[in-house]
Amino acid sequence: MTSEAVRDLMLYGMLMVSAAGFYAMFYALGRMLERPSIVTFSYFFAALQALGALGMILPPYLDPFWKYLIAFSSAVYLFIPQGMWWVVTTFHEKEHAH
Amino acid sequence: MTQALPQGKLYESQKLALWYFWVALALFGAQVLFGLLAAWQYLDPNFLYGKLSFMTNRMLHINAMIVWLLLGFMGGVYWFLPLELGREVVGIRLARFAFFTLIAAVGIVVLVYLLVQYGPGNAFTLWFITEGREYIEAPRWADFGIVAVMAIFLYNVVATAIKAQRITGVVAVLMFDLVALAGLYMAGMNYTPNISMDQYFWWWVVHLWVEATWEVLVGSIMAMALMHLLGTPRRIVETWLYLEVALVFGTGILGLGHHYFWIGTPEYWLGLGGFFSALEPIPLVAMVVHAVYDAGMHRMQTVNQPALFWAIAQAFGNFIGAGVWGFMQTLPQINLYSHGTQLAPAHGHLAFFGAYVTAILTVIYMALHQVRRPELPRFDSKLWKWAFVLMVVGIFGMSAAMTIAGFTQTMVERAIGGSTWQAYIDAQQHPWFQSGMVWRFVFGVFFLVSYLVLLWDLVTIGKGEARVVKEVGAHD
Repeated sequence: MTSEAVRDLMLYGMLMVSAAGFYAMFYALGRMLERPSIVTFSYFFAALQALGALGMILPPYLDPFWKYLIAFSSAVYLFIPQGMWWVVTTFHEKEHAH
Repeated sequence: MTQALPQGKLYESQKLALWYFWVALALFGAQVLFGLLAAWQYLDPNFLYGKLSFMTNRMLHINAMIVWLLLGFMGGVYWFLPLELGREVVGIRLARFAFFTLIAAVGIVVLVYLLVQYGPGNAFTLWFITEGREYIEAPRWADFGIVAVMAIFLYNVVATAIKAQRITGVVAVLMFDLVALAGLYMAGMNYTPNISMDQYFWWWVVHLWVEATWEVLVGSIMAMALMHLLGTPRRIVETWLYLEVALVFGTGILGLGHHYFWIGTPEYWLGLGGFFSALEPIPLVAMVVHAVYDAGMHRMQTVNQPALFWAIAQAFGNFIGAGVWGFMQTLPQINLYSHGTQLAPAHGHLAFFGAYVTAILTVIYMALHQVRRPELPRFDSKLWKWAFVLMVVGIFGMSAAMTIAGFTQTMVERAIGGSTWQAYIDAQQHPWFQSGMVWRFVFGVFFLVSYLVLLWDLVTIGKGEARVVKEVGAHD
């Protein structure tokens, strides 16, 4: 592997996971405050997250196994905020209904 | 039978917990101090030459961290256990004995580290000076002491639950976790001259003990803390705790494989370790959503502001330190080059601070509220915000500096230079590496200052408080 490949993989990996975190944070914040603009803003980080994944997948640095793994992770990150929001709110609603 | 205490009174177990907390905080200071000395020795290798070696400073820095976090966890359990089970801890005398034994043992080990430092590498050294194995340097006699103390701790939890005739979900998880905690530590005592086998089991302690059993332990403590801090219903915190245990089992245990990449284990660990490690940040991202929800539901207001802020910092710190900084170097293709560089301590500093330090500070602030002024509707001070901000900036500054230095090593020494001796020298002399080391020290000093501010706040918060503030949140 070339030094450029190592550099790219590290930086894109960092971008992918940190952007996934910001996406989750802003999405939840937007839903919490009922501010659609913040939810929309969170999608910018979702796109960045996907960009990070593409940066690892598109170049020929990794074998198919690793590319599939990163693609799978990236796809999961896209739906985590919505899924978790549903889980958390459903959970709390049920609890308060008791 | 449960024993309810009058308002403001403490269980004996909680009084003991306070001892744990204060000794833990003192060792936190020792950790910072020895870390700073080691950081300075990176800049000036002649500093304390012949008196206190870099090796000893680093060893004390790391071991102080392990012991103070462990003391903090034990203090947290002793604080919450009687509240959880509604009665005094059964073996309280035994618990006190274990506490003083542990402190005496830690004191002796530290003195040996400082005064003797190392030996000829025979059985005597192994048993009485240091095992010389990174992160678990404690001599063999101290190892047995640690296991014995943990066994007493486990007994106290189990016996108290039996006596109370009550086992909550949190306590059940705690009991299983403590069995693993005591058991896995023994894997580190399994010395063998085969370096691959030795490393294989050594990682059971360093990864499984710290990243699995500690994660579950801190999860149990935070579950109990959240019930008291935010009034979160038991059903919710227990379900989250079960989920966390499942996730730790799901990704964390086999994620251990990322430490098996380059120690001579079979090649399948590359795929196995890489796969589970790559999935490890996913649950951490999910927890960010929950943290935002919890904080938002309470509008960042509660009776104990510092505890709430440290609890929120725990969720985000865990994600950034373990998730982002971990993933960045976890794939074997990258790890081949980044392994053993300054990127590892960058990840370690952020992850330990984010996951564990924040949790213990949450519990300590809660305990101090109960001890100092339980009648106060809002436990607050001006100083805790400074300590919080300075400490977070300090740890991020140090980690950023180490990240830049580690990135330079990864590129210059490994990827470009091919790990030759000359490449090592080139990386060490590279301006990015050297600047990184300077900034690491600068932020280390910054962190020491923040520690002193935190300590002062913990000593003074709630004392002499006369104001009465309108009740704003849940009960403590």
